[in-house]
Amino acid sequence: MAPPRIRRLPAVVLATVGLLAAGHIGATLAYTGPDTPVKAALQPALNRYFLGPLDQGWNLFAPGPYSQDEYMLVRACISEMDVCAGGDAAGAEFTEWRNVTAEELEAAEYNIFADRETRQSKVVHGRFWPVANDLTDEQRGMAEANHIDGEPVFGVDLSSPEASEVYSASELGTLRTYQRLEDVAVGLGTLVMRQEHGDAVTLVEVRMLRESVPGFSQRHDPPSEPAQHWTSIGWRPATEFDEATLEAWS
Amino acid sequence: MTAPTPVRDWLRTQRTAPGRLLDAVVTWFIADRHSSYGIAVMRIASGAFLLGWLLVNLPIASRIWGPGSAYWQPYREILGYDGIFGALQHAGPVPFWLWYIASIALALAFTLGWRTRIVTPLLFIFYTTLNGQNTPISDGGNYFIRIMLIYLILMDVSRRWSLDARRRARLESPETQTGSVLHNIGLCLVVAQICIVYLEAGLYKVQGSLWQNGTAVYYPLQSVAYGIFPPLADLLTYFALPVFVATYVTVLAQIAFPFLLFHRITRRVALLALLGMHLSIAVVMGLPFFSGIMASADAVLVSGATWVAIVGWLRLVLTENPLARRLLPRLRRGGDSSPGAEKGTGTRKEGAGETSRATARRAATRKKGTSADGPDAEADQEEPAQV
Repeated sequence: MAPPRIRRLPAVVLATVGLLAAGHIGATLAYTGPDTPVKAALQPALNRYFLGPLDQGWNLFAPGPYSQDEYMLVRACISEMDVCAGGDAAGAEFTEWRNVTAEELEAAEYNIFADRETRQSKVVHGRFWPVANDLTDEQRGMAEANHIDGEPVFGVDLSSPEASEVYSASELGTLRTYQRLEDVAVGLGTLVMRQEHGDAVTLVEVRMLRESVPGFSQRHDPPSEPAQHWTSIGWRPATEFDEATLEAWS
Repeated sequence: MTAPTPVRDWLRTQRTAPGRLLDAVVTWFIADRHSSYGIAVMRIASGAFLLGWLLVNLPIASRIWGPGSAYWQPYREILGYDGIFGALQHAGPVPFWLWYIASIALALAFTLGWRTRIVTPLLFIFYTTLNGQNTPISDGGNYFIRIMLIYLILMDVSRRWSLDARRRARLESPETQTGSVLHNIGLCLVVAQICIVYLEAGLYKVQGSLWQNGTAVYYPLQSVAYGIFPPLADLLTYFALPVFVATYVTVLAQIAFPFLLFHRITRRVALLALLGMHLSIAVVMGLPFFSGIMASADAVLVSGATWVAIVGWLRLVLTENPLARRLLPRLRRGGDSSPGAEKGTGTRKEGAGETSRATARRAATRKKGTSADGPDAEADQEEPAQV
């Protein structure tokens, strides 16, 4: 029996959509695959193409598996701003440190259908930690210092023209990425502390903690204290949010 | 005059091979909408997981994706979720909740296969916009279904086991060549994406020293975030051998996956290995949505004949047990006495099903030029489409 004949429109569709599909799959392979010289050469174009809804990455639990516990801790100053600025000596009231991640993960234990809120602060940690590690020692020191009166963390407004005079383009990229994620961490810290202390929250301080899972060979006799690594954000003014945001966290 | 050589003779006989290959490829794209049963299973399973995910997260949705997620704004504003995909970034609670409820309704319609030509692109837009509010909270399953929904827009996802299939059977609407071409291109994209995901996940893993030394699966199981059943994690990782086997099987199955698809037997081995892996991840690591979405896409690689057999077996198990034998006649009697049954609505569903099967037979007859092909025979014909 003779094969069915293809009509004109389906032929055009097959040729054009087929070519586009093949190009898309090739681009996906290049974008999501391990680093190669070809990928490096195509990276700017690939970044533009995969920005937004097409974004993807498939290095699931690789090359290193998830091998640490990640925590976000936060505390707040719940006095007036000028009192907080004076610290203990001025009678400022500080909350205890809250391990937000540990609190969230309690709901996930023995529960495979836990909601996504159980991972909220953990993913903030996951995004923040690598960009904080990209900072130089000097920049890390600036980030860990207190900035409570609105002065820029890195000495200059990173979106201003002066910033490109102070920092190189690659440094500026790193600092801007860091600043965005610091703002996210401080924002979440503010909302969490406001849930408990309401409008009294004027300053927040955030710390990220990583504790290594004991090595495989130590699993029958793990160390009593796991190895800890810290990254800190100094005191920052509590982030201001609109009513709708605060209502969602009330 | 040059003497004939075996190579030249062979080349002469193969002169028409490129043309025949092109004919075969074109015929594959226009003759049928391949893997329609597998796609139906993928639609139902991934739609159900999506629906479940939206419902499980309903109580906290406002903080995760709604106005309460405003603290992500400095980060998400540069991720490229612009236009309609950024519609929720500054939305208040009312638009957000309307959006969320519409997403639930679309996921339900998608699962049932209702108006999927319209529902699938809308579900992609609604779901992607929601996801764009808080991309870091997404897991691999969220990423995967977002990409898959783009491909499914091209496809006839409701050809089988759907409300659309019933409607089409009643209307006896014909299938166009253009629709078949788009469906089959979409299928190629789905299969290619599955292969990319597994191959690259495997390639990344072989680069890691803990995967190489066969201990990698121990670590997430002992973390607080993924070891959600600590005693079970301790038990599973107590001996070195199970940890080593699980680590190596994971890597090997993922890297080998695209190559194992070429033969029916190896394909089944690969699918079973990955199904086992997904089930383990779902239960032991507490990632049911991720695993379920990934596993549901693997359904397109199972032949139609197998799916028809599985559904037939399930129907048998559900209807031919002592409890069902006692309950079904009562239900049927109850149904017969209802006003709807008197008007014929009680039997219309069966009738629609029969019409659907009859139409499928007629379509199969039209395509294959034989009256002997029933729906199951057509399912058997899908085997070559499974890559």
